[in-house]
Amino acid sequence: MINDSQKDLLKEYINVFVGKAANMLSEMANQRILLRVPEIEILNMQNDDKFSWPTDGLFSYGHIISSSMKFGRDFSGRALLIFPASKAKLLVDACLGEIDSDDLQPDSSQLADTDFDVLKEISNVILNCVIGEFGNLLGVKLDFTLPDVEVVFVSEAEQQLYLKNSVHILMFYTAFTLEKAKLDGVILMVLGMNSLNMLLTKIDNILGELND
Amino acid sequence: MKILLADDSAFIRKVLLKTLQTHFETAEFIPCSNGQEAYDQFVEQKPDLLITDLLMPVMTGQELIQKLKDNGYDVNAIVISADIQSRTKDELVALGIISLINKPLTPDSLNVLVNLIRGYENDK
Repeated sequence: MINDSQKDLLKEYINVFVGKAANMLSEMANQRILLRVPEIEILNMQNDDKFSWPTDGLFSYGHIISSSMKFGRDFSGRALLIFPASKAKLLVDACLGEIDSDDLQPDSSQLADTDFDVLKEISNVILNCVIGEFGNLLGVKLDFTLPDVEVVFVSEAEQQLYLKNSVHILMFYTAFTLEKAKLDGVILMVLGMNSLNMLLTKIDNILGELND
Repeated sequence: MKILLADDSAFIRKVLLKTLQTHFETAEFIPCSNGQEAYDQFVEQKPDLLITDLLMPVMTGQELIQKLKDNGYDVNAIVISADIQSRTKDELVALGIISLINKPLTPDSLNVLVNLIRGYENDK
């Protein structure tokens, strides 16, 4: 589905896109964000591909905070930002300038409506930035929906169901660490076959230009 | 002139090599795919210039520069990175790098890189 050269270049672009998103998050949280090298895979849910990422159980069992945003026109799909609910409050506090609580380990049930508003804004900034950069790469205009934020309990059996109706998933795992609160997140991009082909064609064109 | 190029992306290494070999025909290039490999090559080959990415597996570019300096090496580094945070830039400036170029690499940013290397050559 994707060869090593395509993966290498796609990873490079995602690195740049996530770097820009991290800069925005850094300004919101007033902290430096440490990034890790992203991992990329394209999963075909119809082939029963399993998640096998070094996510320390991030996208496995238990509660997660999920923000999703649909985007469309020529290049369409859904992007998701997923992180453990136990860290959500720390992220909110960091962005509100209330991060003196290093030892705070809040449960998701402690999230108030205002916290969800902050999480929605954080997701809006991060996902908009990453999706928008894909649009720039492809030279297409994208429309966005506002992000939906929800706390989801994901059981092992439900992992696949959670991404139901998805034909192909461009999945990139990245982790960001705030200075005072370790927070690992996963960004998923769910693409249909046409959009995925559009992206890989662009990647092939860029690789071809280098070899000319 | 010996130039060590450290980037985990084969694509970026190829772009850098292709561009720099055109402008610096007599230079010797040492491509590396992570910070540890770059450290080992730097110690062995003692390059005049280090051009490095930051976000790399095994050892980051920032850790690479720091480790080289801690071990007493004279490091002339140009950093090319997607990390555009001002705090990152501050830390790199404190490490005494020549310059930071933000990714993505464009014809303009590659020109900046070429001019930086020419400037370094002239000042030597």
